[in-house]
Parts: sequence; C-alpha cells; structure tokens
Amino acid sequence: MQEEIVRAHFHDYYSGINAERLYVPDFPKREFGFLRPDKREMVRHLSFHDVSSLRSYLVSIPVSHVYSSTAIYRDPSNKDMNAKGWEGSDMVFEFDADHVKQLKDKANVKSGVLDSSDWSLIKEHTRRLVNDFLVGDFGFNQKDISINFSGNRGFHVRVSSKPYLQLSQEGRRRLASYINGADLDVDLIYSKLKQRGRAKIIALSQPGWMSKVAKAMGDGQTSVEEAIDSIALDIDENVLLDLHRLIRHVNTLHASTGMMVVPVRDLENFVPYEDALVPCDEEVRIRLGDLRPYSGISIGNLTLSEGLGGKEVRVKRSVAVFLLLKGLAQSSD
Amino acid sequence: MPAGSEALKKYPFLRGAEELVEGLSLTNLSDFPRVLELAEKKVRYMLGLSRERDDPTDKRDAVAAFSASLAMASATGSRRLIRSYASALSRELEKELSTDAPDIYKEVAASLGVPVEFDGKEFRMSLLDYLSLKGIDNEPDLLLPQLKVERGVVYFQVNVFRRLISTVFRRTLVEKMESQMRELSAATIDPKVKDAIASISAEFSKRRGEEVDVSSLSPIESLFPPCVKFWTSEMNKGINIPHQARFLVATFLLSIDMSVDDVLKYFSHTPDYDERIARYQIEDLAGQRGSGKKYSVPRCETLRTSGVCTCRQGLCQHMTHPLLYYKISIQKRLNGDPNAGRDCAGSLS
Repeated sequence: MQEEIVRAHFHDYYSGINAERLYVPDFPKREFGFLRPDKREMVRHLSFHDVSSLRSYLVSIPVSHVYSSTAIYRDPSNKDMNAKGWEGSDMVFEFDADHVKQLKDKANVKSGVLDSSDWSLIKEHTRRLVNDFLVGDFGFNQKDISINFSGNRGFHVRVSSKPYLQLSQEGRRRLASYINGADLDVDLIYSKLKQRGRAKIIALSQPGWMSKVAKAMGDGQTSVEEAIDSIALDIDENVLLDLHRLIRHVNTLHASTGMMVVPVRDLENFVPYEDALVPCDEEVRIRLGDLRPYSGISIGNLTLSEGLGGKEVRVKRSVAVFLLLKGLAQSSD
Repeated sequence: MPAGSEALKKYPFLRGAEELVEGLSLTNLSDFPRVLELAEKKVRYMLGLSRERDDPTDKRDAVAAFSASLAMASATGSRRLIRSYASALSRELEKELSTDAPDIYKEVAASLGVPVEFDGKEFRMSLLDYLSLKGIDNEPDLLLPQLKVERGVVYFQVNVFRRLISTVFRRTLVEKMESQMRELSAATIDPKVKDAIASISAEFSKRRGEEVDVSSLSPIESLFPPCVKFWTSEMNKGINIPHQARFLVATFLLSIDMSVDDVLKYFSHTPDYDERIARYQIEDLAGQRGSGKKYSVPRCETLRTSGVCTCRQGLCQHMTHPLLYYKISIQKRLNGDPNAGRDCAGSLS
C-alpha cells in the first residue's frame, strides 16, 4: 500500500507538471541520470531534446531520483566520458545540514527531519555564501546565481556564468579554499592586528577575509580563531570541483522525501515543509510511528508531537509520502 | 610596441624579444661565439658554478644569450638543473623588479600572459584571470584569502605582485625548458655547444651531489613525503582510505622500485583487503598487465585538487611532486640534516 501511495504521488506529479518547469539553460546538452531509491542501479548517459520528452520519460519510469549534469557536452549521451565533448560546467555550491557543524550531530538532522531553527541556520549560511562570498567578494552577478531547495536537507547554489564555465578544477579549488578558509594564513592576520595607527586601520579594512575577521572580532571579545570559525563556510568541495557532477534536476521530486527540488526566490521566507510539498487535495490514512525526536516540527498542516505516536491520522498525500519515506509512519489502509 | 633597449637588457623575455633572435638555435650557436660565451657564463653564474658575471651591453646579445642559456640548460637533460636555473632566474627577476618603478611590471606581466592594471598604488586583475594563473599555490602570500578581494577584482600590493610575477616566471621557464628538453635531439647540437653543456652538467652534479637514484636505495619510510606517510598510517590503523590516496601510495611505492609483494603488505590491513583483487590492481599500476602502461605518481597539484595532500608546511610548500620530496629528503639526510622528512610530523599521530 505504501508503495502505491508513493508511486501515485510521483506519477500524478509528473503527469500534471508543466514541462517548461523542467527547463534549465542548455537543456539538450545536459547529461541525465536516474537512481532508484534503493540506490542499486544508476541509469545515466541519457539526454533529451526537449523538456516534453523528459516529462514523458519521468511519467513512464518507476520512482527515481532525477539528476542532470552541471556540465554541458557536445554529445551528452555518449557513454565514454572522454568522448562527450565537455564544453564547460556550472559551479555548484552544495549546502546540506550535515555540512553545518552546529547541526551535524543532532539526532533529528541525522534522520533528515529538521526543525525551524535548523532551517534558519542553513538559510543563514546560504545567504552568507551568496551575499558575502559569491556577490560581495567574487563579484558574480545576481542574475547568474540560482538557489534550489535540494528536496531534503539543504540547498544548491548554482552559478551559471559564461566566463567561468571553463574554469579549471584548480581555479575552483581556490574558490572553495577561500570560502572554507583552508588557505588562510592566521599568522598574517595576527601580524596585521599588531600594527598601529593608520596602518592598522588600513590593514583591517582590506576587503576580503581581513575585513571579515576584523568585523567578527568586534571590540576584541572574540579571538581570531573564533572569528574565522564564524565566517568560514563548510561547503562540499567535491561537488564544486567535480566537472562532471550530476545534481538533482530542478522541479523533480526527491525520492527519499517526495518533496520538490524547487527554485527559491525568497530565501528568508522559504519554508521547506510547506513550500516544497507537492500541492494536492487528496488525503490518505497513515499510522504514525515514534515521533519523540521531532516534536514541534510541522510537515504541511501536521505538527508532529510525542502524543501522536502510534495514532492514525488522515493527512494530505504529500505529507503522508514524506512521513512514509522517512520511516515515521506506515500506511494504515 | 617593442620594448626599449634598457628594458630588454634587464628583461630579455619581453614581448617582441624573440623576433630579435629568430633562427638562433643550438645547431648554429657556435656561429655566434659572443652569444655562446654569454649564455654559458649566465648559466654557470646563476647555478653558482662561477662568480664571473658578464652582462651584455647590447639588447640583441642579451636576448640571444638568455634564449640560448635556456636551450643549454634544457639540453643537459637534468630536471634538477632546469628547476635550479629557473629558480635562480626568477629570484634575479624579483630583484631586478625591486629596483624598477612599478610601471614596468605591467609590461613584464603581459609578456608572461598575466593581464593586470596599475592605479599608481596597487595592482589589480579580474578574479577569473587570477583563478587561471598556474603554479602559485605553494606561495601562501599569493593565495586568495591573504589578498584584497572585492566584487570580482583581486588587488596586490607592489611587493606581493613582484612575488607573483617571479612565481609565474619560474613556472613558465620550467615548462618551456622541460618542453625543449623533450623536443631536443642531441644529434643536432653543435659539438662545441655540446662540450659546454656537458661541462656545465658535470660541474653541477659535482657541486650538488649526484642526483639520487631513489630506485637504487632500500625504501626509507621516515623520509617518505607526509602524504604517503599519512595514508599508509591510516591503512595500518585499518581505515578505508579514498581511491585517490590508494593510487598515490601504490604508484609511489612502485616508483621507488618496491616489488608488488612488498607494496601489497601496505594494503593488507585495509578492511576490504582481498589479496587477489589488490594484486591484480597493483600489477596493473606497475604496468605488468593489460596495456603494459606503468602509472606515474600524481603531482602535488593533483593531490591538492583531489584532497589527498595532507601537508603544506616546510619543504612541502615548495614541492611539485611527492618523489621530489623523497629525493630531497634523502639528500638532506645524507648531508646530516636531522629534520629531513619531518614536515608535518605532528599531524601524523
């Protein structure tokens, strides 16, 4: 029964979607990959001429994770990577809850159900990545930056800037090391802090890491190391460096949550467990499991609580799919 | 616009310089005895083999001698000599620049393919151009977090930019000389020039000690580069290490002439160890199977990119290849240096 609910959820979503929502720039030049939820079999090296053929394919296949390449290729469906004809890759900065050090050990985060304070922190990190690093320091144009909710525990920030498409892995590594502070010379910061008068003011106002550290240190209550810790962002370097990476395709469904991988235009007011749930009127009956670690977290219009554990409830199908796939409920029909 | 005479004498690689020496090669160098003399003296002086410095007074001689000296260094066939010569020339360039006004830097940078602007106080270049620079990652001062970065523009103070130019210069020279070394055919070199090259090569080896042939020594684990030490110690603890790290360890051990059986011992503690599979893979890397291709040890740049590099301090700051670290550490140990091979030792517990 559970499988039927999930299958219907995916089938109805792809049958009803406006195919244009599946568009990404250079669509025919992207490689696509599909992974079943048991992660046993990856079908990749596929490409589609247009969004309608992708939509038809999605309607026809079993429930799957759907990925497309950050790269564009002359021949994206060629199985030989060397013969695909790489023409460039977007830069993707992946931000997941398990990359935020304050969150990675939390029990609810490990099982992939986040509370509102967890989301606030991830959104804050994503906002800093975009405003402070990508726009403020690197000078990327806002129109080249898109943020997608990953459909599960985080966000993908994508930079599609033509001049940067062919940037080498080495160049991308320099960007990653800048953001995560790996190449920072702490001794140099100390030496600048030791300067006096005008020289010190000039040194500390140097745009980039130096002024960020000086600002975070405030009136000196915060140490240099603490300041660095509060600024550095732990992005997944492998994602950025991998020129052939496949990432979740926009407006498809995450096969471990049933939620949409949606573009986020207003990050501050984005509520994942409302805005990324597939809108639907259909309701299904489920029996809830142990909800103790998740008390107070709302999924759609259902607020989880310890007291609901073991009870049967009628909820919107998208809420039911989320809870079923997360193992927090069973179908009761 | 062609560079002026004075500039070309100091910086004989500026744009337009090569036009002055078209047709000059190691085949006909002895037809230009003054150039041959200048080139030989330059190589000897820069490598510390002689104290005699002979600076050309004519821009054409300066350019020709510089170009010929690179060809002569390449013709020695010694990567160590090439690197030493490139390092010495880059140090000299940094020194020359420090005596000049920063306005000339732009021209020097342009000849190295580094586009830059100068506003009278600091240099600036686009972030994309900065990210495309090669060979600067071993210089902490030149790394992005240490620099002024704002809205896609990277700024350099004059002294830092000088370092940038000399670093790029060194890398450019090494690449040029290594490429010349691969293309040179000994048969086409003029006998007189060949004698000069042989003499430089012999004196350099004598001065610096014979190049260590690491494959002729028993493996000295304490002198392995920090990355190899780190990953072998992780394997010893029974930890599964990434594929790229396994590749590094296996190719490194094979390249210092360890047998497949000895290399296998290093892998025998990994949790997923299967001798049959591991032997097959190592024999493949050693070129004993399939295509017969022997795989090379990855360069430091590749190790950094793939996250396998574990040390950026001490000697590692200046390294381009793990085998180079091993060779230098052996040389240091032979010279009695007690700290040989101890870079990043604290992080290996």
